[in-house]
Parts: sequence; C-alpha cells; structure tokens
Amino acid sequence: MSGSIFEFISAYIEQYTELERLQARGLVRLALRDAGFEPDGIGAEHVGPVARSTLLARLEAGGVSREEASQIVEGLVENVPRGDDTPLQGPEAMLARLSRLRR
Amino acid sequence: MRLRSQAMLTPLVLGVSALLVFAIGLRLLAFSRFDYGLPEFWFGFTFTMWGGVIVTAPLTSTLLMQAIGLLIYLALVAGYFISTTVTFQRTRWARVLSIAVCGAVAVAIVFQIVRGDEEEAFLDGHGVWACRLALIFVAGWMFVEVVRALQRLSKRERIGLGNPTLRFRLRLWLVSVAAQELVLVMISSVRLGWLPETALQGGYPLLALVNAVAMWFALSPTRAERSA
Repeated sequence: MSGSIFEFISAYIEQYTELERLQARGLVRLALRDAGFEPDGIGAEHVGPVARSTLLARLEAGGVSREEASQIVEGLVENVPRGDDTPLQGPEAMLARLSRLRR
Repeated sequence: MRLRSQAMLTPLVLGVSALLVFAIGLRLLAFSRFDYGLPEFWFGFTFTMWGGVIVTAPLTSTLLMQAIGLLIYLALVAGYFISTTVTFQRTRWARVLSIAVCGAVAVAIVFQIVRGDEEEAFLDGHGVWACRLALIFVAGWMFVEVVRALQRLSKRERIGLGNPTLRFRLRLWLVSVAAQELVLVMISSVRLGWLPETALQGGYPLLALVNAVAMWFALSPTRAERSA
C-alpha cells in the first residue's frame, strides 16, 4: 500500500504539471528523500507535511510557479487515498511496533 | 583480597550483561509472538543465543563443547544476518551478501574441522576468525543503518513529523551497537596481539554491560506508554 502512495503522488504530479513520467517520479523521489522518507516508506498521514514543504520546494525549483505549485500540492493532499498503516521502515519500525504491541 | 575481588568482577559483570541480553532476547521473542517474519523474532533469537553463549562460555573447555560452541557461533552469525536483512529491508543485494557471508563462514568451519586443528580451534581457527569478521561487519552495518535512521528522523522533525521517543530509543540502540562493535574489535585485537590480554579484563565486560543496559532501556516502555 505504501508503495502505491508514491505511485499516486508521481502520477498526480505528472498529470498536473508538464513533467514527463520519469521526471515526475524523480522529483517525488528527491522530495521524499529531503523529508527523510523512502518511496515505499511513506504513508497517507505523511503526505500533507511532505507535500507542503519539500515537494512544494522541489516543484518551485523545477520551474512551476508558486501559486500553481500550491494548488497542485493542496489538491494532492485532498485526494490522497487514506486508510493504510504507518509504513515505517528500518530500525525505527521495530521500535515503533514494540510500543504499539504493549498497548 | 582486593586482587581476588577484581578477578571476580569481570565474570560477574559479564554474567549480569549476558543474563540481561538473554532476558532482552526472551522479551523480544515474546513481543514477536513467534512471528518469523518480524525482526523482533530474529533479534530475540540472536540475543537469546548471545546471552546463552556468554553464560555457557566457561563450560566450553572440552573438544565437544568447542565444536558445539563453533556451531552456536555459526548460528549466531546466521541469525544476525537474517535479523539485519529482515529489519533493514534492503533489496536483493543484502540477501545475496548475507547468504554469501554465511556460506563462507560455514566453509571455513568445515575446513577447520576437516583439518583437525583442535588445539587452537576455539580461539584462533579459520572458522572462528570468519565468524568474528562477519560479526564485525554486521555490527558495522547495523551502526550505519541506525545512523541513517537517525538522519531520516532529523529530516522529518524539520517538517513537523518528529518523534522524540523514537529518537531517544534509536540513540540508545546506537550506543548499544557501537558497544557491540567495540567488543568484537577488542577481542579480535587481543587475539592478534595488538592489545594486551589485560584489555579484556576491563574493556570487554564494561562494553558488554553498556550494550546490554542501552538495549534494555531502548526496548523498555516509556512512562507515557506505561500510563497509556
């Protein structure tokens, strides 16, 4: 499910900008990396903060005007599919899961 | 009397550390609910083995126990690699590398048994050295992965997705992994003659205790979690 969030964001960026598929995916990868996420490690609940900070900055750096970039980002946040678990990865995944198991 | 108490201190600290690690392993196994797919299971398995090896080390004096010790060592390396690849879900290269290293260690142990160099097999044989190098590599790998995880958390904090509890636990885990690595390097250095035997008297038990205590707190519930 988490990988599909990356796919969704990439497809959305591709659809609402003039970027081609590979460019859109590369831009999203860079934005996620700037925010400390791997492409298959981002959940729906992270999309808002990531989109409004690093993705917005990357869109602007890619030549999209600020207004247009803001509209794209807000549209993305509104339309992102909800309902999957936090897909933490790496050592932090185990530590986070352990605290949930205790409850 | 003082000398005697100092000589007793090392096995005492090691024993406490080993029991703590053993208890951590059992806790993790319980938390994993014996789900083989979770890193908790493999870390629990590895820690239980670690604790068991250190606690039973004084018993491994006969040749039979040395052979069993080597097999436990091999299982430990395999467990470590499995836990690393499960936890740090890398792509195919991590699994291929893990299988290759475990295979190389197994070949080295078989070679050692076939050659029959029992005398120094337990301390300086090819199999033991292969295990040591593999464990040093894995501990280094884990250290790098925990540092990377901390870096990821720092980036998330900047955009308002911080998690102070997770950060605290990762820092403790970093201390634990660093202590593990230092223990392994120290033992290897002593066997190579780069450090005097006396280095093991203080450094080894102290680092083992640091490793165990840091990991214990990293895996313990916080006050907020207890009251929740």
